[in-house]
Amino acid sequence: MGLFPVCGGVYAAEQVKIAETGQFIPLVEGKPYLHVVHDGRSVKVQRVQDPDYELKGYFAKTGRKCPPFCIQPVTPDPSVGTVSEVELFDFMETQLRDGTGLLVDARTNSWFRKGTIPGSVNYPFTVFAKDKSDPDLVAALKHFGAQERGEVGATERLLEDWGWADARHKTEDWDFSKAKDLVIWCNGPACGQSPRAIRGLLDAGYPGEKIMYYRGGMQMWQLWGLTTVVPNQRAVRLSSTQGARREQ
Amino acid sequence: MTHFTSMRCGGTPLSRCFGRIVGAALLVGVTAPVSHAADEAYLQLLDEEVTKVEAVSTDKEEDDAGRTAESGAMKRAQTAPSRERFEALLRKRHVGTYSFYRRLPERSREEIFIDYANGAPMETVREKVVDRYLHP
Repeated sequence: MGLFPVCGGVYAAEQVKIAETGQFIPLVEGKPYLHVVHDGRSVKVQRVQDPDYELKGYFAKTGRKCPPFCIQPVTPDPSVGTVSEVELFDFMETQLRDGTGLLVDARTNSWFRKGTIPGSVNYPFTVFAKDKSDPDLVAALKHFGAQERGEVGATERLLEDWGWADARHKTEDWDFSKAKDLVIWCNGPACGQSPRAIRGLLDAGYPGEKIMYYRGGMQMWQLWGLTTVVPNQRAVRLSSTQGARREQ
Repeated sequence: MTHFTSMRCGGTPLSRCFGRIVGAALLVGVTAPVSHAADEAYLQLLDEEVTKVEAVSTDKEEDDAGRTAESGAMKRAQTAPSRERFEALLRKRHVGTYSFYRRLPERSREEIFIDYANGAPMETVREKVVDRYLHP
């Protein structure tokens, strides 16, 4: 409740600065803002319009205990591509809108509750460390568009082994041909949560070419003054129930 | 009768092979709990870190609804290029839909763009394009 008047005040101050300077800070050149659906409502993603804005609080910190909060390599796996904010904006306007992609906040639920990137769904990395038959992992993979293969006939198996049938996105248990493109993120370049999630997904057979790593994460998102949302209580309750089950 | 030490496992004497199996079992027995403990420690540190973070929402959509006094610069920036981008996107990714879209009257194109700008999924936008084309 107390947050909105504060936001309103900041917003009003921003408006004054825009009026003074006559300059609007877009997401990128030619793209002032975009909309994504979050918790069933449209959220406008834009940058803070105060030209004097500086990052404060937890994500302004440059030093954290290492290990475990060590600087991560550019990608957790050579098969996985890394994206910046610019590609993420495009992803939000294309695959995310079309339903062919998902933006995955791989942090534990307590982090998600503190604020997330609009359009994200919360699947803590712990889910992807579970046994391949674990119901939470199975549910996550199904949500990502993977299909369980069930019993595969000997002939089909043989054809796949010989390379006569397309087995490119198939494992023994899963068919990932129609699996969604994922952009997976966590707290930033010194966060290991999304790299762990990505490695878990790769272990489960998820094709690397369908996974992208947003290494900048929440730290870079906030550095650019981009819109964040605190998930609504109902969504958090649902999510934390799943999260608790996932983390057991 | 074959003596135990003379039995072989692959190219290795069975006694040494047995030793390897026991070693591997011990290694699994030791590393699995260590790995689990490391995960637990990591989760605990994450829980400690998250207490230092304040919940922050910078979504101003609800504030925007009541606001009409936007600066001219902001308005210009918000309206002009976005529709171009939408049309470029449609042309690039959905050529068929775009061919219908460009034949629509301006009012329908604008209506469709507003839907898109308000967050309608591309699937819905495309359906609307076809609908407006078939029922002008």
